[in-house]
Amino acid sequence: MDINTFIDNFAGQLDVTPADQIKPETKFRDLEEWSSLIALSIIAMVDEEYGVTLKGADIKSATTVQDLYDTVKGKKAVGT
Amino acid sequence: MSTSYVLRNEYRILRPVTIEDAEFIVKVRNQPHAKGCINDTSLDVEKQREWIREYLKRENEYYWIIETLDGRSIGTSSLYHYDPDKQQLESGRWVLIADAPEGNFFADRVQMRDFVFNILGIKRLVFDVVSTNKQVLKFHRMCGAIETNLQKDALVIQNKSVDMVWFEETPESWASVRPKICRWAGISTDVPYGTVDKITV
Repeated sequence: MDINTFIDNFAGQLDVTPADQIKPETKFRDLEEWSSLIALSIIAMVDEEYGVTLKGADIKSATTVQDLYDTVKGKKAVGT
Repeated sequence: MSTSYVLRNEYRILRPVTIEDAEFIVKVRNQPHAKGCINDTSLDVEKQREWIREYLKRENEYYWIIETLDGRSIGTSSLYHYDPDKQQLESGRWVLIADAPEGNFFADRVQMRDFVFNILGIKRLVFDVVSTNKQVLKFHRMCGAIETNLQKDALVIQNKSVDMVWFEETPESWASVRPKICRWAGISTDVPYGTVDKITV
């Protein structure tokens, strides 16, 4: 997996924010449209695209898109 | 007097609405983020009390206050418009306060669908969503709800005509997506999820 594809997938869960505004360093909770429903979309996307189950706590402990990517990559590496 | 249920899981409690909840319901339904997404609600608390009095006489209709485990009211949810011929219920009145503490919407969904299909024995659950409420539409689609109809100019909300997207779920459609939703919720796949207590209100 690579960060650019992950960013595309992440941006695909947003309705308003232009995709090119999403960077590894983006603090996703600061996005104006961020909501608990988008967090659920991220959990579903990660499950379907990467076969990894994120928990609410994983999203809560992440600050940036890069943090989330690292969490997914880490979980994928250990097969969880 | 009618039959109702208290639904509990490790994140939320759904307890039947009482007349004392009128003020909270008026408040939650008139929040800025809810306006335009649900039917307009009068600010008159006494009218709301009267509506609840009438609702409490109905059978096969359920209106809950969503509470945190420590008893804080954070929203509402409901099942209504029971059709005995089709064994059908409509789901709606799902509104949360703006600062509702993070719960687990996937777990709540599993519990409600298990309740509807496994405990009430309903064969068809229907609901509609305002067509501009994109995040909620996306949530229902990713949870496997089947889109059945776009109802143009279905309602006038906040003086604007709105289109509604209709969805349905059946025991079969629910069974096919349930394992995935349980995985997303991080809960076991035991059926039914959570506890349900039957009470008289």
